[in-house]
This record gives sequence, structure tokens and C-alpha cells, in this order.
Amino acid sequence: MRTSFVLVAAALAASSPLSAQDAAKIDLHGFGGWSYGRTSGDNVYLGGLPEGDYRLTQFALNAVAQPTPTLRINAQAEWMETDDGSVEQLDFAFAELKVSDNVHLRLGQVKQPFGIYTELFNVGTVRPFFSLPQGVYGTVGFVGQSYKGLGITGTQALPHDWSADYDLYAGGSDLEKSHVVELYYHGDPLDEVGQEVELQSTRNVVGGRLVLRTPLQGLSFGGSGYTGILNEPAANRRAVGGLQAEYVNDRLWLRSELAAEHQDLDEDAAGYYAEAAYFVTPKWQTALQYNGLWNRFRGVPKSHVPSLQEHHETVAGLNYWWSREFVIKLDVHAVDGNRFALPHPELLLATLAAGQLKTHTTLVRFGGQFSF
Amino acid sequence: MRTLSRTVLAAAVVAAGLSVAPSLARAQGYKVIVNASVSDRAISRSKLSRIFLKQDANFPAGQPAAPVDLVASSPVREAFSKAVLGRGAGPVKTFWQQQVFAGRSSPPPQKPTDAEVVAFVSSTPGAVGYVAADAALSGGVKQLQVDP
Repeated sequence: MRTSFVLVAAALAASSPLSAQDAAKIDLHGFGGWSYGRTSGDNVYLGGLPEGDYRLTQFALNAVAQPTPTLRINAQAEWMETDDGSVEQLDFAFAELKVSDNVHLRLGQVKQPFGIYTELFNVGTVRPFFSLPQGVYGTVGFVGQSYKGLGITGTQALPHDWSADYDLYAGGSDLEKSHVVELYYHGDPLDEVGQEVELQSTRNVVGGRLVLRTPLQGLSFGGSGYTGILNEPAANRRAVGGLQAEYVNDRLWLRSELAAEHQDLDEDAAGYYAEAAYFVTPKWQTALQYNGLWNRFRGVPKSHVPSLQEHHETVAGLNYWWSREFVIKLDVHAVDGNRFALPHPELLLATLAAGQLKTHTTLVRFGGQFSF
Repeated sequence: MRTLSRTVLAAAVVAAGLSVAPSLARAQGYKVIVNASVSDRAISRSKLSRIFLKQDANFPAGQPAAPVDLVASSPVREAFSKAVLGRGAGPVKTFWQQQVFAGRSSPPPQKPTDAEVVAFVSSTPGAVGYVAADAALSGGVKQLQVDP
């Protein structure tokens, strides 16, 4: 409801004749996509179902206004349809005040600056695959999609054509977490688990990111980290860190990241990915990725259904870029492990009891993604 | 005679080297223009790149810069983009998608023709743009030398 209001308000303001005279010009942008996904065996993965699923559709609208030369207002709302139903969310809504050329103050709900892709979670036209690498961006608890609070950001030019992008922030954050495995290990009932991901809230978050851009165009390195207290009765502390490296030129995209999480008295996780994409022609792009994740739960022996604690995946992709605003993608995923690729929650116990849990899953995904 | 011709040749090479930036720009089919109020006469390629990617807000002398682009389909933009930004217009578009959807920045305004770029630069203090090497310039606009 709230996001619908943002959309309507932005559209009305942009279309109002008064806006040109009495208010700042509003820039509207958007992105979205649709895909079909089918998995092998009984497992569900990344919106793909064993019987195939056509419902994975998504659209987001982004509005930016600059009422004064030093003030920018940014908002983005997103709608998604999946086999779990509809999701409507506010991606961000914040004011950014330019304090100086190198210091911008941000207040509101802001995309969490962590790693390469967190600020671009669902934007398909800036990456080679439909989905982000699950080893780092899966619903395991590394990153929230946004923080709510206060932050500063900026770029500092350094000697010899180096530069540094920095972010520092404080506040709270919500992140999506796939909790089926945790519920299983804790012996909680799975029969009525509707949404396979839950929102996990963290308060008193303090974090930052530093990215060094080298004189070689497109080559950068960086690190991110944050810590906070889980909004749960046990109030455990969560600490997450990550490293990134990226090289992008007109034809070749190379990216790799590592991330690790520690939650006091609860769980630990570590993930990584490496991906390469190459434009064979100006329109055709091939891509390859490998990603992995280990997730350990306190009190759960590693030997207790170990596949539920791991995820290893190879993805191959073939893309046709009609333009930079529209791409048709075909992805083939080969997954070992069940941290993310699982039967429907209500079938998990029976599947395990029958010894029929498939630890290997293949997902084929086809569709298109766009932006404007 | 041979020595003289070598000297002339060497001098020509040095002279060509000294004026490499504007010659290169002309050879590549564009020239960079600024509003006449901009005090700088020259700018480094890397500084100009940062201004067009909005990673730097000011000219070398400190005056605020207001970049303007030609539309992405323009061959002049492609030439400028490759020579100054170090990547084609397509990858630059992807860069702006990243900036916009991360809530970080917005691309410069785009104009469909050289004449509209010249008009924008002429009427906007601090404006910087680029047009075809043979485009006509009006009052209020001057050419900016780009150093390698």
C-alpha cells in the first residue's frame, strides 16, 4: 500500500503541469522482467518448480527529484509475483544532502552498501545472469537490501588517478532469510510454513564500505562490513564482512566476492562466487559462474543431513542483448546441496524420512529483463 | 640534406606530439566545448572523464561543472565516450543504470543534436559538452583542449 502511494505520487507529480513551474523536475526510471523456471527432481529453487513456473514477474519504479542544487530525494518501489504470491516492497526512500563535493549525507531507507550487487539486487540489465550468485546474495543472512537510518557517502580522488568510494551508515536493517532449514534443525513444524523466507530484523547497525578504483579503467577492489543486534529475545550480535574485486570493460565482465557471517550462539556462514561474462559479438554474451556457501548452526552436527548446510553451484548463461535496456537470458544451474534447493517445506520431513532428498538440482531458466 | 630532413621530421613529430590532444579529438570526430564563463582552457582526459561520470563536480579552476551528453545513438557520443571515458556508449549506459537504481546519481541531460548541445552549453554557466569536430559554434561557447 505504502509503495503504491510512492508510485502514484511520483507519477502524478511528474505529470502535473504545475510541477514544471513550482517543483523540481522528477526523473522516472524503472526495471523489471519475467522468467520461466523449471527444476529437476522435487526441489524448488530460485522460483523454479519441478513442474515449471511462469509466474516469476517483477517491476520496479524509481523516482528522483532535486528540489535544490544540494538536495536529492530518491524513492524506489518494487512489485513481484512468485509461486508464493505477490510481494510489494519499498526498496528505498531517502533524502541526500550534499555537504561538500566529497561528503553526501543520507537519511531515510537507503540501499545497504555492501559488496558489488546489494544496491542493485533485482536489476537484471547490469549483470549476466537472472539471479545474483546465491553463495553471497542468497537468503542466508549476509545482507539486507536496505538500512533505515543515517549515512554518509562520497568519492575521494586520490593521487595517480586512483579514487575511493566510501560509505558509512548507522541504523537498523531487515533482511530476507530462508528459514526452512533452521526450522527443521530446531524441530519446529514445517507443515504451515507459507513463505519460505522470513524477514529478520537487526538493530543498532553500524557499517561501511570502501571501494578503491584503480587507474586501469574498470578495475576496482573493496571491502564491506557491518554489525548489529538481532531483534530477537536472545539479542545475539550479528557481524558480517565481505571482500570484492571487479574488472569490467566493453566486452569482458569479471567479478568475485567473498562474504562471512557470525551470529553469537546461533550460526556461522561463509560464501563466495566468481563469474565471467564475455560479449562474443555486440549482442551475444556468454557467461559462467561458480558460487558456494557453508552454513553451520550451533548445536547441529555437521553430519546431520550435511547437504542442508551447503550450497555449491555452477551456472552457465547465454544472453542476447537487444539493447542495454533489454536482454533475453537463458541460464542453466547445476546445484549440489540443499541449503536453498529444497522440496516444498511441507514435503521436507516426509522426503527426508523416505531417504528421497535429492542433493543435486538442475534449474533451467529462460526469460527477459529490462530497464529504462 | 639528410640531416636537415631528419631535423624537420623530428620537429614535426614533436609538434604533432605537443598538439596531440586536439588533433586526436578532431581525428576522432568530436570537440569539447564549454560555456564561455569557464576560465579553464585545457583539462586532462581523466578529469573530464570524472566530470562526465559525475565523480568530480568541478573544473580544475574550481568552477562547478554541468556536463551534457549527446543521445546514445550518436556516433559522436560513441567516439567521445571511447576516447575520454574509456568505454563505449553502451557500457556507459550500464554505468548510469547502476548509479540510478542504487539511488546514487543521475546521468547528464541528453540532447539530440549538436546545435542543441551548443545552445545548452551557451546558456548554462559551467556547462561542458562535445559536438562533431566540424560543428558550428555560437557566441557564449568556447573549445576546451583535452590533454592526454
